[in-house]
Amino acid sequence: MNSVRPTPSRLLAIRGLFTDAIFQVLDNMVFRVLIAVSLLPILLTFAVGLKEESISVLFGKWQFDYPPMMAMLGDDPRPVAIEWLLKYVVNGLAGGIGMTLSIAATAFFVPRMLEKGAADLVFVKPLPRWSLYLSRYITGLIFVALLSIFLTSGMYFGVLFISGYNAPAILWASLTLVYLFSMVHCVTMLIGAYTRSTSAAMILGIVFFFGNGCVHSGWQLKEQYGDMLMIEEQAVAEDGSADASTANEKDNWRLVRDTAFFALDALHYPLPKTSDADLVILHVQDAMFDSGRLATRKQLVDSTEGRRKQRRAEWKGSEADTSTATDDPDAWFERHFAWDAEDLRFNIWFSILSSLGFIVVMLLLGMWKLRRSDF
Amino acid sequence: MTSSPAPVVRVRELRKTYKPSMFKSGFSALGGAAGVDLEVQRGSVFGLLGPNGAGKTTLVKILLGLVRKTGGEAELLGEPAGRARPRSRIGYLPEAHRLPLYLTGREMLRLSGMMVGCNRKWIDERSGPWLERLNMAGSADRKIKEYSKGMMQRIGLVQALIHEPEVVFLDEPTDGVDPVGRAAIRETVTELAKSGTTIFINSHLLMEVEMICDRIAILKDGLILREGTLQDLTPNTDEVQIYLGNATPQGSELRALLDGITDQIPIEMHPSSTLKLLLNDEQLNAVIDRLRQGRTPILQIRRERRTLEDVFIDLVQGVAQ
Repeated sequence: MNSVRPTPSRLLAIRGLFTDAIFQVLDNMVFRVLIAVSLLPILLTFAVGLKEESISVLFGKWQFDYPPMMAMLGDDPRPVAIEWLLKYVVNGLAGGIGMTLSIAATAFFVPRMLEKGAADLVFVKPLPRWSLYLSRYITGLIFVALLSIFLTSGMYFGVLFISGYNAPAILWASLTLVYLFSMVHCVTMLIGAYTRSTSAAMILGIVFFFGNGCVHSGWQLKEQYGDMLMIEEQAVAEDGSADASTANEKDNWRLVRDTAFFALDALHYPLPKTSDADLVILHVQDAMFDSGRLATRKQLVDSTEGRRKQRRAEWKGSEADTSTATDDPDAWFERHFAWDAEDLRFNIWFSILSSLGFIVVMLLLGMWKLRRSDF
Repeated sequence: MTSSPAPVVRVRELRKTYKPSMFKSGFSALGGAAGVDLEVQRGSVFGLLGPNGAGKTTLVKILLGLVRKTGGEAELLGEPAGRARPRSRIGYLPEAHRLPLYLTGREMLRLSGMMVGCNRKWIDERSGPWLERLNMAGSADRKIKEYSKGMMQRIGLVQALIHEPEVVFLDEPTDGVDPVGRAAIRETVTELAKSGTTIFINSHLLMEVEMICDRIAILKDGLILREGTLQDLTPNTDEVQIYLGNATPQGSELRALLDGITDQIPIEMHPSSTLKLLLNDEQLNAVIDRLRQGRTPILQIRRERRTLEDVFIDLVQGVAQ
């Protein structure tokens, strides 16, 4: 036995933290349940084959034609079907129910670390407190990353082997889920650091997740319809047909509406853009690999959206720009990243940077709290 | 001229006060107004005694950087308390610790060692003998959630020692451990002390401290009431026990033998031929002379000391000054 103690290594200490994180995730009961539940959509992709001409169930036992609406979307309806799968199964179910369960399952990470007796053992190690806090954040990300990689890679191979269609977009969806969770987990942790209560962290984390989604969706609706409403009101006012009582009612309504719009703006800008996670990743993938998903998603999101845009452009008195040309670099940049990019409801850089900024601020607040805490 | 080695723990006028908040009133947890002064020398086994709430754990936690001090100075291994560097050279077994239940005992030891910066192989080499010594070798690969309280305490002790620290802080180390486990822990501590490791024990189990520690401090209401070696704290009393042989005179015969010396002193004769007397040194010599003259065999003479328990209770109840 070597009796000389080796010089302590900071790298080994950090490795110890990460190993601990992995153990903590793998032992989590909710994690195991979610892995089991993830098998259902994976099995679906193995049971249902999306062929070019028809839908094949259980390796060809039954064959179905595509619905006429999908047939209208192009020669090969599979890209649209995959987008549908991503939108409703991955982003809808996993991004909604799965995310809520993940928030609940990881809410205890910080409160349990801060419990009397546990904190003594952890914080006595020669590691800065911020690194211990950060390790718990990363533990949460590992939790969701493992789940989403399991889900998406299973679905990817299901689609690849059974449908014969290579859809890397499915794999990208795991990044969407991690990105989405990273915005909420920092809040759950901060609540945990201040209250040292798992229940408080769990409940308030879930409330934040849904509340934040509502704020962002509300803001998007405001952006879509707000200016139309104003133009309509202006037209009515110019027309002069409204009587005094109607005008008074309209004033009251306008006050309420303007206050609500102001509140939405005030909340939307600093809060993380959880509702954008799917679109952000879609745009990043499209911009990096020119995957054409934007065009496909547009087909899916559809004719109603197009009609809405057309109407909006008509109200504004301009023509809707439906160009998707990528040959001109300026046009390409304008289409994807410009502040007022026409085909986006939001600015992608602002969305990413404000969300990351929010995460950093939340983590710093948590670290500051931990630095000042006695155990 | 040789200078004495620097103490591993040095505390000067240390104070900890919790400020009042909306829901709690403030209070002084350690040091009162004057603060606590304390030094622990390298290689010693130091016992900090005190009733519940005396401030023992607060003092240790300030040294380990777990609690921030309000005033005064605290140094650990020559550096201000709370710094990360000396913490890689210490081991700590907290009171009522909560080990990570999702790990096995062996995994916990590995991770604990890695977080101090030691590599896994080095830790594995060391964990075997430690686990054997504390009778945990057979349970090391079981999940900690399956451990009894005594097993948790023993594996907790191994995690405090696995990286070969220079100073070990043990907060109620035998709490919840059965007598066999207690003996194993005591033996471990004694061996560590022999190997030169400094040990700081917080306890209210007086017998344990009396058996293990070479220096003791008694803390009450955040203040050190007395500090010294076991001999300093437990002075001799006037009570003398004289163990006599079988051919011992009894009753009136014995009184006649000691006539003139013990007239005013009660004589207590036990069936095991043990004579218990309250004597000063001069009287003791006279008694010995008389017993020899009477050809009474003297097997052993022992002057009774005050027990640590007596001293502790007196101090805590405010009898001793």
